[in-house]
Amino acid sequence: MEIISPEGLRQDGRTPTCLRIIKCRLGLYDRPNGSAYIEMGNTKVLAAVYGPREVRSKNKQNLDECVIQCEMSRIAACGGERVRRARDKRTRALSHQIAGVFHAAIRKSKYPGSQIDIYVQVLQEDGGVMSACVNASTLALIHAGVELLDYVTSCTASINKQTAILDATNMEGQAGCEVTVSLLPNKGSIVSLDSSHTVHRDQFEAVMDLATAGCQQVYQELFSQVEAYLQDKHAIMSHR
Amino acid sequence: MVDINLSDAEKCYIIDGVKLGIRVDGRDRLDYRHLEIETGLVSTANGSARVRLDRTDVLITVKMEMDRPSPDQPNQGRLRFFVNCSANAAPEFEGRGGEDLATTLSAMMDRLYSSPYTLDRSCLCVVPGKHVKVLYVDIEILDCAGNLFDAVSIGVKAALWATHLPRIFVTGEDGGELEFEVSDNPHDTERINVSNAPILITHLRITENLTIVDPTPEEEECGPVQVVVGVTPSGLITALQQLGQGTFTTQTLSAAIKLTRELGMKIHTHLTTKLRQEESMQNREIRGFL
Repeated sequence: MEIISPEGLRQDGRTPTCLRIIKCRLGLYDRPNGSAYIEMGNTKVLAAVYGPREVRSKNKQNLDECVIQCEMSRIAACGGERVRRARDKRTRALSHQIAGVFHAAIRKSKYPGSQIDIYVQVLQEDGGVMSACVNASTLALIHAGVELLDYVTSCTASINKQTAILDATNMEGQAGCEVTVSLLPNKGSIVSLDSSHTVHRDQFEAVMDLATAGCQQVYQELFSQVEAYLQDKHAIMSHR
Repeated sequence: MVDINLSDAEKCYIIDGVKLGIRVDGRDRLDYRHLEIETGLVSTANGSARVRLDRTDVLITVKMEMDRPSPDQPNQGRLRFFVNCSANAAPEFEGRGGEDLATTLSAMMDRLYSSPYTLDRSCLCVVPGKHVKVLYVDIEILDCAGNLFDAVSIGVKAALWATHLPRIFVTGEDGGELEFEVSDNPHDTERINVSNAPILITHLRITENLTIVDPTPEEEECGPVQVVVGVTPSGLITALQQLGQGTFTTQTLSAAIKLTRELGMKIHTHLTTKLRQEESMQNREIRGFL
């Protein structure tokens, strides 16, 4: 099967530079300080943020800034084959990566001696899992009221023959490559870059540029959703 | 299950309320909280359901795999239950934190469905003695606000109801190995008969001889002991377990079981009507978590 048809459309009818539909919701649960849910096409992720709160293990405590921990898990039926363990090496590696991203984005010195936990639950995966996790975590952190330097938005891009494609599904990522970029959109700085499979040096720049542009699009989307949420919930915002 | 600290006065308020026949949220002793069910929200699973009982939130997925049958039941499929307590629900569940609760829950579900009357497993057989379908029922606890057992069991029944299994044909044999073909048509599926599938009802002993159903976490804090009863739509009791440290008098226990039968049959009828109603909806839009 061809990834891009002769007419220039992808399997799901998108053009190469089109994002999948993003749907999200802030504030699903009461117990966590912040929670959010995001759907990027068929990739669905739930995130919850606990904190800032007291550090649980004292030897991790840092009196200058906060400790950020992330735990990612997958539900058993999230992909094609049943996942036997919710947390394995892959999710642990991704958890570290997500925690690293937010180390760069959270104003850590504002919360000295405390801890912020980010729990991410992947409900369905179809390419761009890391991206969806980062975006969901950003929303959950915003919902929790944690001070951030900027939004963190993330997007993937891939390549098919000579054409760079944005927001690759699982199949498109498998056929080409999957380059995940996480960006601080207002600052324009990249906080995480991750590439799987091979991508040629000459094409890498095109893929990167597309992914970065995708991050900006994701940012517009998330920003409008957060604004809508705030206007809905808080009178403070509605006087404008 | 989750840390809630109540003072003696608060406990007294809850208990005295129950004695007077009214609970803190205005319910009667045998009233349930608002329950929401949606099926078919995880498209990668064969069947799925999400149940929300007030703030308790569980997601159940059913996934089919082929396996060898157990030697003592060569023409019966299997049902396996796995529970995962997500750290979303409570940070205590992080890492291996939720394992105790998960084991208790999955063991209870195993026992609930252990009776051959509850579910016909012979329809899960593909080649007797060689290949059977195994249904992996995975239960994800996303938030717990009391009465997890009931919510999970209702969710499992709904998920099994919504399960569509692909038809599998044996097309031939090649060197002693059977060859299978799976139907191409995604609508050509088999369903599972859940007309006898049981649900669990939890009775919490709150004071001397009074029990309540569907306890909130605050109420669970007041009564240390509960009895979980599994009941089928026809009123058969399939499993029973007493949990927690504390005692029941025989009268309280038998009264609770008797009440369970009537309540259970009522809930089963409601559940089946609602599931039918959902299924008959044209072009149903799946809400999921949005």
